[in-house]
Amino acid sequence: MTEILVYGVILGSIIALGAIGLTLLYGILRFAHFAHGDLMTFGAYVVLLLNVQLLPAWGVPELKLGPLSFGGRMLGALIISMAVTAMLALLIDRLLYRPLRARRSSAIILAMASLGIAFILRSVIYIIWGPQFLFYSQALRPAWELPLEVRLRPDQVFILGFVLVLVLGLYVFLQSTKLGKAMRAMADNPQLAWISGIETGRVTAWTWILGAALAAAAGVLYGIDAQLRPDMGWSFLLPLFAAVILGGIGSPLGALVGGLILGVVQQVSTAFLLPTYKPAVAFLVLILLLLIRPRGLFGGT
Amino acid sequence: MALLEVEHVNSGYGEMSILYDISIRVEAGEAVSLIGPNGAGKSTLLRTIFGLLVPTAGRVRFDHTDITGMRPPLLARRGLSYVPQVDNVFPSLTVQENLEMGAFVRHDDFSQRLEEMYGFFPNLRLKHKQRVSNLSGGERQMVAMARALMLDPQLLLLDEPSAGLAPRLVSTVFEKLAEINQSGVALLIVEQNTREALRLSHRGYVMASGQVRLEGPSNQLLENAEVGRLYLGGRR
Repeated sequence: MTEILVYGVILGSIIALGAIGLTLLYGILRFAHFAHGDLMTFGAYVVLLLNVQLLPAWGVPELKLGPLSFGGRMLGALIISMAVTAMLALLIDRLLYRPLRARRSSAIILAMASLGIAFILRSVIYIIWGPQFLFYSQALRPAWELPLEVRLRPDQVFILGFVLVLVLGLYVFLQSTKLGKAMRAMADNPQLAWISGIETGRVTAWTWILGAALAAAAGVLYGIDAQLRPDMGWSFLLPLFAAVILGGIGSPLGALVGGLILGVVQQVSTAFLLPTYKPAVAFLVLILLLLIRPRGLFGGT
Repeated sequence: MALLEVEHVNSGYGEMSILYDISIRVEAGEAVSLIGPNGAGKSTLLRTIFGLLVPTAGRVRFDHTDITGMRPPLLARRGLSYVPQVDNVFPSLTVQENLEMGAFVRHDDFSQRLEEMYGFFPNLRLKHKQRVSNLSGGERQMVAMARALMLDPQLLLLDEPSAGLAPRLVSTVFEKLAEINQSGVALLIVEQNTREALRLSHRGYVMASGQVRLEGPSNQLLENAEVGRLYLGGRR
């Protein structure tokens, strides 16, 4: 049982990374970004391209990192993938969402446009890599036997640690930097942010960079924990939105807690139900919580 | 030349015209009231001056520069600030973070200005780490004014600063506005609380149906029988 809880926290931390970006984007741009899950997929496949296909061919050696199934080259690829995914999101914003915002298109138009982006990204990945499951590494790593009958692979410990670092970094950024405070201000009251002289266009660009980089990291971490499929991010989309709503739309802390709750609940349910019912269980929790707290756990006034 | 000059401005929302041939001015250090019934276009005029609406005709000049349709980050740097009537604070940010956002365009150290604001609004110093959503209506209004004053503006535009406040707080707000004005900041105030606004200000404009109907020194407007009948509560 403890083991299932720990696995739930791992799944939840991956959901949380995606959900934090999604909730930041919603807070600032006020539309549901349906391509967020596919940005996760994109990030995961960029690492596959770099670490499994390109870099080994160019003779870049993998520096083994202790008991992990991967090493320094993989970490480098992860960082590059976060940057590349951020650039892709910025490019899409410039080419598509920003012109739509300039025309004062409704939130539903923007959401549908992002749905189109989601299909395009996924199709491109299908075309290049095909529909089969792919893995970063085929190496078998022995799991550690921890107290309370928990068996944990070193990779999973890395996932938890990396999410912790990203979340703490994000917290410090939002609380103590000028740009982070401006992001929160804009999520609170975009009109007043503009009136106060905040360069809202710049803040928007940085929100894309941040949200997309976190999504890419989430995709790569899931790829490390499980496997890569073209529809991996798409299947994460519902849990992502559920985590955002559960935590209170626009609240990064809420998205973190919401993601963890969903991960644990989904994982625990597999002890009693077929794994196929995982999403249904997540939504049952969401509905029950919204009946009690209609604005979510950390929803504003 | 006056600090602010609005010259023959027409403005409105999209196809809907609200303002017709408006001309007003505010001298440096002056307090000016804009009064008139609901729907007269007073708030629309403030929004047009601050570049949130672009006039379809006419010019807005501030401090010898044409600022017609200029973006807020540039206006803020030039010394023009605006306090909207509603949604004029960042509720989930702390008091201090609200003030920091008011100084966003400054890249130097503004801790001294922050101290001055806390000296001016002592209540805000006591609550500087609290989220603004936990503050009372009067305190929120102080936060809104302090945010707008962070850049030490030459002119402060205020849209109904006393709206929705308890009577006791209304006089506090007007006292603070008088102090702000005495410190050298020019004010352009839209108010429903006509009598208080005119007492505070040097001059006033009476607007109706998107036009300026009357203009004059505040004491004359206070004594004017027609203004009294229309806007000052019908004293016979």
